[in-house]
Amino acid sequence: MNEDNLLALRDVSYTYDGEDGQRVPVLQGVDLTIQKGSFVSVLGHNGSGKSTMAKLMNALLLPEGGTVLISGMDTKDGELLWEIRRHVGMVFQNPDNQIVGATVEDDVAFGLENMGVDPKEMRDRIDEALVSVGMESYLQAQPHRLSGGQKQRVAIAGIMAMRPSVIILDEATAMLDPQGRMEVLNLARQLNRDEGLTIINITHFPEEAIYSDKVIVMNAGEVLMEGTPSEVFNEVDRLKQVGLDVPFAVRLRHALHSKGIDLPFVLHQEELVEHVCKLLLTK
Amino acid sequence: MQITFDQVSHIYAKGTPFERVALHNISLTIPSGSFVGIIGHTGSGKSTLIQHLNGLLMPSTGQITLGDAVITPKRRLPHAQRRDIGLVFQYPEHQLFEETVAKDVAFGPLNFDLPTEMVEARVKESLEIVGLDYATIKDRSPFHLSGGQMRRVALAGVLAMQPKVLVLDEPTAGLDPAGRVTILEGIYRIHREQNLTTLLVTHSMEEAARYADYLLVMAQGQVALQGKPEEVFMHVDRLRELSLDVPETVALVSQMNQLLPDKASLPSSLYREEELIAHLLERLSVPKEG
Amino acid sequence: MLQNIAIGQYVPGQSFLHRADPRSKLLFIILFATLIFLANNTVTYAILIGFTLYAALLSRLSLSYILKSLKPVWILILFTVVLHIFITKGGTVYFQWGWFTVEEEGVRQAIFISLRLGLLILISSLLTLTTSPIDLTEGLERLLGPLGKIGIPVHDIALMMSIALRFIPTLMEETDKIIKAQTARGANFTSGSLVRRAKNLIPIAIPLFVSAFRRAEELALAMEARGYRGGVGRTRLNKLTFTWRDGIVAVASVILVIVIGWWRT
Repeated sequence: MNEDNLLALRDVSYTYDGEDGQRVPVLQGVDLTIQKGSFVSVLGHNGSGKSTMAKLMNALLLPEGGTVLISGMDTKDGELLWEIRRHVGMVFQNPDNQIVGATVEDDVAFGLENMGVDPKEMRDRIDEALVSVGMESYLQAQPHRLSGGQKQRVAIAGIMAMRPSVIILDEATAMLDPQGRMEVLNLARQLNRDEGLTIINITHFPEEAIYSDKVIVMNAGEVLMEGTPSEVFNEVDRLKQVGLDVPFAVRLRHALHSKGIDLPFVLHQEELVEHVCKLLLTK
Repeated sequence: MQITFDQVSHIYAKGTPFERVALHNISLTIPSGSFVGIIGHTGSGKSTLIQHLNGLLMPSTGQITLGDAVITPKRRLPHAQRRDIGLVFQYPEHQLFEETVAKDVAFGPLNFDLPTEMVEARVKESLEIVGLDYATIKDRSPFHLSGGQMRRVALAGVLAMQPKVLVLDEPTAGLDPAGRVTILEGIYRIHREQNLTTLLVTHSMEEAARYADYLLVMAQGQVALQGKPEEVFMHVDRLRELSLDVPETVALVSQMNQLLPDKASLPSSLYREEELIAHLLERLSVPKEG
Repeated sequence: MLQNIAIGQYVPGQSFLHRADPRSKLLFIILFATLIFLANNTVTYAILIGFTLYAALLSRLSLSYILKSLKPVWILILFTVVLHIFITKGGTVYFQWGWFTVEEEGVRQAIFISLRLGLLILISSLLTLTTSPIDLTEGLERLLGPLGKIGIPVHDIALMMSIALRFIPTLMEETDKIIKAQTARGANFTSGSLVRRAKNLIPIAIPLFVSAFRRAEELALAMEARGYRGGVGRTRLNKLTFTWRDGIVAVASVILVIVIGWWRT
């Protein structure tokens, strides 16, 4: 295995029990590698298997076929379970249902307590983690007094304190307002840039994927597309077919381009503004 | 049904240490049949505002007129008139409780003592309005449906009361893009077909721009801006000041207008995506004459 | 509506009592309760009353607010007083009417017993008024820590209590929301017969249970993802530290023990 590959899924499949007793496949033959230090976005509509994939990545679920490797550790090896979970942190969708502690510091301490970290060291790690998410002034705050975005940042601090190598955001922005969404996304990008943390952002907001190194599109339990944001979003029609949207600038350019307007592919709004203005002025 | 707020204030927990002014002297008029987008941050007072509409909250001062009913701090909305105002809360699927979908949808109409046959007809009708097949879904447990289906059942539960005003608090929260479009298109269709007055509370400027013909921007318990979408979106700076986004279309137009000379600038009324595309296509594909 | 109901009766503050360690406060209450039962004459009771009043002053809460804590039990106190006046006999007869007498011992006991009850309630209210439920749980867990050695799952109990504390406000908000949603659908929770009103609770209770179970399930998953595997090998964040305030509490305790021991008869 390549050393840069932090996370690898090899021919992974998973099924769950359907309503009438039969087995329904949620993932089939998924092959993926995720590089150390990269920011990866996983797009897919509800039921595409993206959340199941996340749970397979930190051994909350074990693959029925194939293997999941984290830094070379096989998730099926029970002995490595705790080490894997320490390496791979997960932030879930509902901010209310993942905070365990009655205060912010209690919650950040939770993972450390599970790891059996010495109480003296805990203090430093908590402070450090809260600083890294910008929540240091809320040490004693009670979770229900925080905004959705703040709660998710506390959840991220709880993971940061465990010194992970990957953070998976499992639709962590889906229940937030636009402000909270920005807070969480900016934080994820900053941790990726400054701390070299690998981020896997599972989302259905295409705008969130613009700045990633790699975009993976899931559909019906399979990897439909994989590539840079430009490569993936260039296939507007294929994405539309599976019920996925593209970022606004891509959509607008596509609408104009398909009617014969000569515009190059753009990902960002600023580029689109420039190109369209140039065209308007030369007409 | 026309809705008027006349100098309405609301103070939570008055006279206790928890006292908080949630609405501050609000006056506004919503004409019958309009589709109003209500925008604002969490805590801006929009939830408090809509809860006044069917008597869940009483104004601390001021007066609200709903059609011909008048609500004042001392006068409640009569029970029978509550059903004119259908209130769909955030994550409405969390209020489902009956054994079957049909029974759950019937809960509202039965509370208003409508005759059984009529209730049945309404249940059937409203499930079909939200795009669910009555025959296959009526006897299923609401708890075994998908998230999107549960939300539509909850919406049907409100529609079955045949309200004249439909108030929706973040109806698309937590849904994926396909689910968001389905539910909003559905609401818009109901709005037109049943000639409802619709109030849509949303965080998304895009949703507001797409469907609303009138916008209310709330901030700190007051109406910060109101008017037709193109009027409200002209105040880009004021919206940014309230840390609210403008729709992507509006942002694009304003960025382009900064680069373009005045005579070539785009009209600021182009806030709907299709209209913006149509306008650009027209300007770009027809070669300039002369 | 519901979110304005204070949980417990904690009033946040920065007074001496607020900032003393919950462990020393808990230990002090146990000691004080013992002393109340050792007090047996006017002087010792006077000392305890004086001490309680001083503690009340230290909390910087209004005395009338603290005295409100007696409200739920004043009937019990009154009952004790009447009982002792009627039944306990001995000493000088103050009043006689037929077979009915009020005697010195009866009055004495009535006063002492009601004082005991009253002081006990006041001093424990001072604890709950000045200690947040979170600190109280933490203090209890630390004090009961040694019980873990004899097989009592102190860690698990403490975690359960702290999760309960964490979710009470969330579930209160949820209840409020469900009540409003069902009211908007025409449900009426305030009128009708008792049976009808009980039946009306179903549309609230079921969504609340469903949501609580869903939350529990998601929380369990989140806990597992963060490496939770039961109490074994777990450490705890040490939040409580003794300060000079606790030194003063300790000194006050010793003085109180000596004084009461000296003056009691």
